[in-house]
Amino acid sequence: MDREEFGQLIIDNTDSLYRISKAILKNDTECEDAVQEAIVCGFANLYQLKKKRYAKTWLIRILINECYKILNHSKKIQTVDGTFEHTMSDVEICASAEEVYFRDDYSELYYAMQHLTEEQRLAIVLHYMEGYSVMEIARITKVSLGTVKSRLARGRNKLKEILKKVEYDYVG
Amino acid sequence: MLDERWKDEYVKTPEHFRRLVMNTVDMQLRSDIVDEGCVKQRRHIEWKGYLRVAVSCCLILLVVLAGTGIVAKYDSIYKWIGSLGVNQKHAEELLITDFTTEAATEEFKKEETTEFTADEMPAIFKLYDLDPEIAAEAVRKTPSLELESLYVDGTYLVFTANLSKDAEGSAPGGAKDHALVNGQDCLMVDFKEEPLGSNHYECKIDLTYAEQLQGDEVEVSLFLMPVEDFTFKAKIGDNFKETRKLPAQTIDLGVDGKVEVNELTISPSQLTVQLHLELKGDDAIQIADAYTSFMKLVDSEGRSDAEMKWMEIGDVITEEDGTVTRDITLSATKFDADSDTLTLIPCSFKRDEEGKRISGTEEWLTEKAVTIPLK
Repeated sequence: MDREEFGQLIIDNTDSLYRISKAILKNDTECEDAVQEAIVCGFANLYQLKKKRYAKTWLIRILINECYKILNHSKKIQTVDGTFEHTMSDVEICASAEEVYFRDDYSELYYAMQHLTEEQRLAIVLHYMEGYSVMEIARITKVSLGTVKSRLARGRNKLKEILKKVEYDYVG
Repeated sequence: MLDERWKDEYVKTPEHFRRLVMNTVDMQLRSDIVDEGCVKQRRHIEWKGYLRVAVSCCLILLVVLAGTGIVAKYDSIYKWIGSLGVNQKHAEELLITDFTTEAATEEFKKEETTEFTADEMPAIFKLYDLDPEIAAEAVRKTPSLELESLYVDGTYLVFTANLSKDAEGSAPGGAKDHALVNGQDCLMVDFKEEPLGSNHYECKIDLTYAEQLQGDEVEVSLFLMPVEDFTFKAKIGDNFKETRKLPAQTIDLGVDGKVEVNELTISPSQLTVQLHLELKGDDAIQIADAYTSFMKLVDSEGRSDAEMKWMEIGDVITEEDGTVTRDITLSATKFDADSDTLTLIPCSFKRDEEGKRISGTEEWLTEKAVTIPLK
């Protein structure tokens, strides 16, 4: 695959990149960082991509890696020496999570998804929004088929429960 | 099953995000840098002459410094071990650096075969159900690595390796991904060339979620995106036994409830503990909250310099009988692996109107501390 084709593939899949990064990261700025890193990494390693048909999945795998890198980095690391040095406090993280709820351009579905774990959210987004099969998700996220199935089932049930309360019928 | 309603209504891509993607792609397409593989090959040619001189100088320097231990001091694994604090000395004993004899290790090997049947394919390729043709191509082009030093304590496996001098094809690269350790799928935390252009690689593999490894030998296969395979075997003696997995136990807090310690693993490089809090009393919610705000980990010698982070924080759930439950998983480094006990001291603090911590209001709740026996 040449660089132009890869560039076009990225632009064509902008929505997918946003949805997937948003499944793992809450903050838009972090999503932007992750996607930028993934694009740069993708171009730098394009010579390693052997088959065109794997390009999108390959890019998504890179993006997920970048998202988790950012997520792990921003997780609370505390030096317990009495000085309370840390990268981000629990309260700060909660505060940034709460910002989500003040945005009027997010759907009920998005709010409901925030009640799921990030693994469940990612599985739901990849399956129901990106159309990947359970087998493909297992390969992308590097977990077993059973784990993907259980993440989907638990996520679906939890969503059903939450959305019932707001009378939405996404989950039948 | 693809549901268009989900897709449309989940989140709408902001316009600035679209612009950012387009600009980044545009910038990459205009960039003079062709790709990392080509850059590396160019660099090798340009620096070939300088490298010969540098290598000669280094060899002389190595001979001078070898006896003094300075070489080891500057080894990247030693730097990492140095960060383990109180466990440093113990961890040093687990580091294997002598790979000169066959008894110590089997070198990184590259399969000579260029055609595979499905059964003959390296395990790492099978895992991804890759096309045998792609796997064969990858193996054919993959240069080999020579193991330099290896550390394994059951929680982390860290090694350094050098790209073989007769290496052909592109250098290992790509995003860090994962590895097979004795057939178990493990997260590769890091794989990097350090310093860039040196052909010297550092790799760190997290074994936290792998089942306890058995035997006196470790077989490691690396998978670097998209298809590169490196495998080596090394004798590691009793090192696997360094990680202790403690059986589940319950700590009774009397009228305050109890704490179930479901999983606890301790090794020189990391301590991981999974707790299920069942708290009672008027301040139960506040205490459950304090466990995820700040926490001090104290060993049996009274040291509290461990650095911890929360790996998972569950929701606070109030049961019908008023019991407050919460699941927490945390990990820590610099905690003395030989400590008899682990004491967790939560911390509470006041918050301002915006919910942010008011500096100076922190209070260690020593009376609510939980002490877990480790022996």
